[in-house]
Amino acid sequence: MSGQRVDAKVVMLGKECVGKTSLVERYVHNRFLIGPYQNTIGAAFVAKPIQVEDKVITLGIWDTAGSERYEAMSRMYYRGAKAAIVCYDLTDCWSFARAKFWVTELQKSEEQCRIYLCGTKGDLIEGNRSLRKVDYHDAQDYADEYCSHLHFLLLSDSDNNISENVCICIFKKISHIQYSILLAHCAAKEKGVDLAQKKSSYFYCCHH
Amino acid sequence: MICNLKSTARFAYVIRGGRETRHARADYHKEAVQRKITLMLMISPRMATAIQEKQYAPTLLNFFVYNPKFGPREGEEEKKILFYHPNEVEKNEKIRNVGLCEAIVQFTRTFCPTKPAKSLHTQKNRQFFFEPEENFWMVMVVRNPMTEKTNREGKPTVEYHEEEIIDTVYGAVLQQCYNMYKLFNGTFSRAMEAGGVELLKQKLETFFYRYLQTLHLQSCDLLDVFGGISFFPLDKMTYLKIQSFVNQVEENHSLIKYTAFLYNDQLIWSGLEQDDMRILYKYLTTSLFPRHLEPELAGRDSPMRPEMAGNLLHYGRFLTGPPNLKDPEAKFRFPKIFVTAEDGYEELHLIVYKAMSAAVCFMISASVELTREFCEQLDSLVGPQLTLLASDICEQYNVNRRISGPEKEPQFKFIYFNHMNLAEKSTIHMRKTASVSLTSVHPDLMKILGDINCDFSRVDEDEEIIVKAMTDYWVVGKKSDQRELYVILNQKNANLIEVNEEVKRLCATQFNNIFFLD
Amino acid sequence: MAADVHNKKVAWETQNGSLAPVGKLRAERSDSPTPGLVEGTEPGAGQDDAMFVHTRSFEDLTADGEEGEDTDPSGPASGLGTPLGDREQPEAEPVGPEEEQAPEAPAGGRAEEEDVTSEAWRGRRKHVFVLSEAGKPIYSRYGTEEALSSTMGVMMALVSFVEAGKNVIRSIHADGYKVVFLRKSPLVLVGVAHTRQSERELTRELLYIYYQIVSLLTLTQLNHIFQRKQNYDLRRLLAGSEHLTDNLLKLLDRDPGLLLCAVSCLPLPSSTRDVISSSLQAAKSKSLVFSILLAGNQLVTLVRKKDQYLHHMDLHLLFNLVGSSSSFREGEGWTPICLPKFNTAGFFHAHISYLEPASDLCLILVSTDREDFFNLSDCKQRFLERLRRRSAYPALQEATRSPSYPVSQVGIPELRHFVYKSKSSGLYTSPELPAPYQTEEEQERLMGLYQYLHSRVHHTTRPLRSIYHCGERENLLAWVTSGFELYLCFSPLGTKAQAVMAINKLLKWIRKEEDRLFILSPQTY
Repeated sequence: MSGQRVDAKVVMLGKECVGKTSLVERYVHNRFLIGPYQNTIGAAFVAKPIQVEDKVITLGIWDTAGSERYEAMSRMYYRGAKAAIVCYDLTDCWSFARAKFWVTELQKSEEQCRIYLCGTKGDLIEGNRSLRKVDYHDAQDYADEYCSHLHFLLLSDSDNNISENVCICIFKKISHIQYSILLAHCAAKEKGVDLAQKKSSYFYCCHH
Repeated sequence: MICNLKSTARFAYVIRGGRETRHARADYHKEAVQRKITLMLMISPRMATAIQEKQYAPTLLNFFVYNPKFGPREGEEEKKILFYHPNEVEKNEKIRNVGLCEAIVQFTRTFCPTKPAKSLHTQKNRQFFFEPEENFWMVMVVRNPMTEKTNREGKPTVEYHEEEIIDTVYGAVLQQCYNMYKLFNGTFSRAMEAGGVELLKQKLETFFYRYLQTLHLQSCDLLDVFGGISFFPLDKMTYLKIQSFVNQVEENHSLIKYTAFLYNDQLIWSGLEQDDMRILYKYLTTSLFPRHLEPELAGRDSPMRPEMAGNLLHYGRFLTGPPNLKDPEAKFRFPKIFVTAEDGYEELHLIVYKAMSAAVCFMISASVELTREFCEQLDSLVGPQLTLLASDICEQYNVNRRISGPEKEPQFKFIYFNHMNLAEKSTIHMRKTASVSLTSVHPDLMKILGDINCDFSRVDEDEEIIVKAMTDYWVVGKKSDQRELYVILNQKNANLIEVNEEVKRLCATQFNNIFFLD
Repeated sequence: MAADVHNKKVAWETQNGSLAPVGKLRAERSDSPTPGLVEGTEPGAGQDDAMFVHTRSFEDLTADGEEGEDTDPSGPASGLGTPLGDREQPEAEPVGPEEEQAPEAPAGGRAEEEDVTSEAWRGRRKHVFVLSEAGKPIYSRYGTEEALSSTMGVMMALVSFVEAGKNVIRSIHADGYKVVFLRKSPLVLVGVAHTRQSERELTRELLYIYYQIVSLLTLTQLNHIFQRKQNYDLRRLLAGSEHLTDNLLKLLDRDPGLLLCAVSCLPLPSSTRDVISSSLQAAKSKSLVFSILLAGNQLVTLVRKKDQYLHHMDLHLLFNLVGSSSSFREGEGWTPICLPKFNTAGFFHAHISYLEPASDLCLILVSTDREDFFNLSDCKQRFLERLRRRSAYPALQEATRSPSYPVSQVGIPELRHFVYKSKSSGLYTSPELPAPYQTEEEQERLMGLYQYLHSRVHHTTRPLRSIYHCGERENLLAWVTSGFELYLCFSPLGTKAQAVMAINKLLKWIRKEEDRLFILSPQTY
């Protein structure tokens, strides 16, 4: 399902409740979702025009529902996608297993799709390390293994500044913009782990 | 015993007249049964198209009493069962059915520990649960009414009418079963104390074996919910005569603890507690009196008529105890009943004595042994007086009827019940007999009355409900200060306002404006 | 794909003569209402054709058409709509090897869970439980499914036990509450209610919950899942849908439409509504079956494919879907949805979006083609452009600002509230709730009274023409004719004579206002 109005198709994938919609909301509408968690039904499509150097291109973002019941539908959302943001929740190891499932799926059928593996809710574990259920190194090892098209990011769900930057980082990356400035910004917060120096130039991590 | 010729002649007149009316009533009775049958045929339009259709009324499937504490361990489930009808049911099925009831009751305690299940509705039947004494459960399973049809392939199909049975009616019938058992046997615990499980089982078997055969589930209705007492309307003078009669007998026979006086199956005077009188009344009017009605209806020379030789001065006779005092073999045993007393219950002899339409119940402590002499004395004291009273009442009654004008079929029929004194009055029921209660209205209208009664029992406030049925009959229900009135109006073209006016008139004439709600 | 709409499985709904919408003759519309109004000429009856599958006033639970479909071996591909995904069969367990380690399904995003042994839990007005035939918990309105798994096990045991005797358990009655069972293989639904509702009303509510679940998965998929694995934990597939069910239960407690099998319309001048309808009609696409414009929980207009009728139950499920989720405010929603009264075997695909970010106006475009998103997105744009060109949008926006009317407009002082349903159009109208029915509790109490009247007049074996109830807090009247159903609530001081007069006056008022309150000329593409 590729629309005529869209220059690049981006798909959000991941288990329910990991924060895909929050990411999109923040990036597209620059707003935070408040109130109780509401899951996405089916999928939501948002067209986001962005300025890339001297021209405007339109990102077609498909925010898919995480629930397993829509899983069989997801193929039509990621078919022909230029990029996929696969999210998992750092406090939920099952979500990481689901993320790996998506990565495998994508690699099987969408070779041209760049995959961004994205850990969310970093702010929760910041206050309480014991909440962390997905080990940083496990994620990194996994990313290493599938390095060729995998990008690795860790996000905080509520930290406005960083997250927003990360969003922009991801989405700009997708639209092939220079991102070095942003990268530097993110890297500065990495407390010494400079993932950008990994052998894969596509492998990024923004965590704090 | 003072009795002049004139009054004897009057007796004869009254008796003949009375008998005639009874004959007439019996004919009416038969006619009504026939009419009801034709009515049923008419109201089932499907009958015309499918002749092989058969209707079945609700029937009693099972009736059992169990105590879950009696067989708590696995493999001992049978011990829980104290009575099971029909007894032929295979043991495992009995255990299964009891198990289901236990499970249902237990399950509902999840949602309300103090108010467990009262009924279970299934496609084919309804089960009613009642725990009259702690851990003693009585269960009555009633099969839903159904229609059996033969479909095109010639295969019989059964359609159950699941919304025909009204819970409150059959719930009340089940409670009545217990109350009737208790009236003649005392509580379950009493039997347990006296002779353990075996005695209880034996008592249950003896009592319910007979009693269940007298349950006529297809004709139960709102009157069973009320379980009320019909009072005989009487002028003050006659009432005082009756009262002084009761006082005189009680004075003469100090053994008599309680007395009740009835005329024409309606209560006039009772010294019993209300709830005891209610169940005793039920027993008298639906079981004892109807059983003795047939001999009276039979002609004077009929062999069915009990021996009355020597009793030339009165028409009194014992309905309980010895049928003939003169019989040298006669046993002076009377049924025993249990009524509430300050320290639980007391056991009494029940003597029912009747002369024409008047009946008196004398209750005497069971610890006293009743003798031939006592019975003869009672007979000679009560017989002539009661005969006299009966004819007085009858005369008075006829006078009152004449005053109230010629009887014409009114445009309405009603049922009235007062929760405070249990007084009930129905112009819908023609006569309650042991076998059927005959109503003059369509069963569906009776069920609408039942529905309205259910609506009333949900909230404890004054209410009025007026409905128009699909047959265009109007049904009005009023609840006001513990009293309930139900009126059925056959004024198909009336509107709500006219119906209201009609009911207002009825209340004014019959009930002295007890009901105020507009 | 569109051709598939004419599916054999819908036939039962349109073939049945009594269900088909009645053709109307304008000439028959009388000016003053009479009790003998012929169905189709009552106030609010559509002029040409109805929008909905014509429904009886009370859904006949035994007449579900899907019983035969359950066993359809040809699977989802044979139905209308498309099967999920590209795979041959919708996969219930796509996780593959990791499936065995899959943790218990998440509790979802519901607020704090309550103690199922507490007095507060027991005292809840209405509990609803959904379980599988293996006795596994699927949904509980209050309390976690984990905490209730043994209770649900008992429920299933009771169901099976009674079934073993070739019988069906219906309900358990106790003082002050009832437990109602609904067996809809492969699910079992149980309701525990402290309300005055009849067993039948409660069963119908459970049926709604059942259809809610079917609408997310299709019955075919549901059957498939449990055929493959009897003790499958369905919560995995339903994760996140709890609030849909929660919300539906809330609607059932408060919305008279679900009780009456009817929908209420946004009051709108008929000229404006006609412009909106024709704009929506023009914005068609080959795969489109229904275009529905909602304002909150009211219908603005509905355009349908010729010969295809939407069942009110399906429309209520769509209302619920939109009303209980903020998800469609994010962008344009695109979701598979099964409309169970239309066809339990397949999915439609719904394009759901708000006309404007902060608006209450939500457009639902129901298509048979899952690849058709951008086409429908275009339809929406075309619709919006047309609306603006014909300057109908401001009038529509204006109307959404006053979606209801006070009962005082009718001019009957004793009348507090009413609900009027036109039977042939399946639409109803009702004024806003006045004092003293504005609190949640009082609102539900009033609904409870209407439910009571409804269950009495629509009793299966003893239906009534009318019922008047006089109580201490209000007087109520319900009147059902072949053309309409009317429920009125009067002040307790009102008399019967006033009530009788009020009916006549109200019916005249509704006739006068029918252009505004009802959709009289429904459109097809």
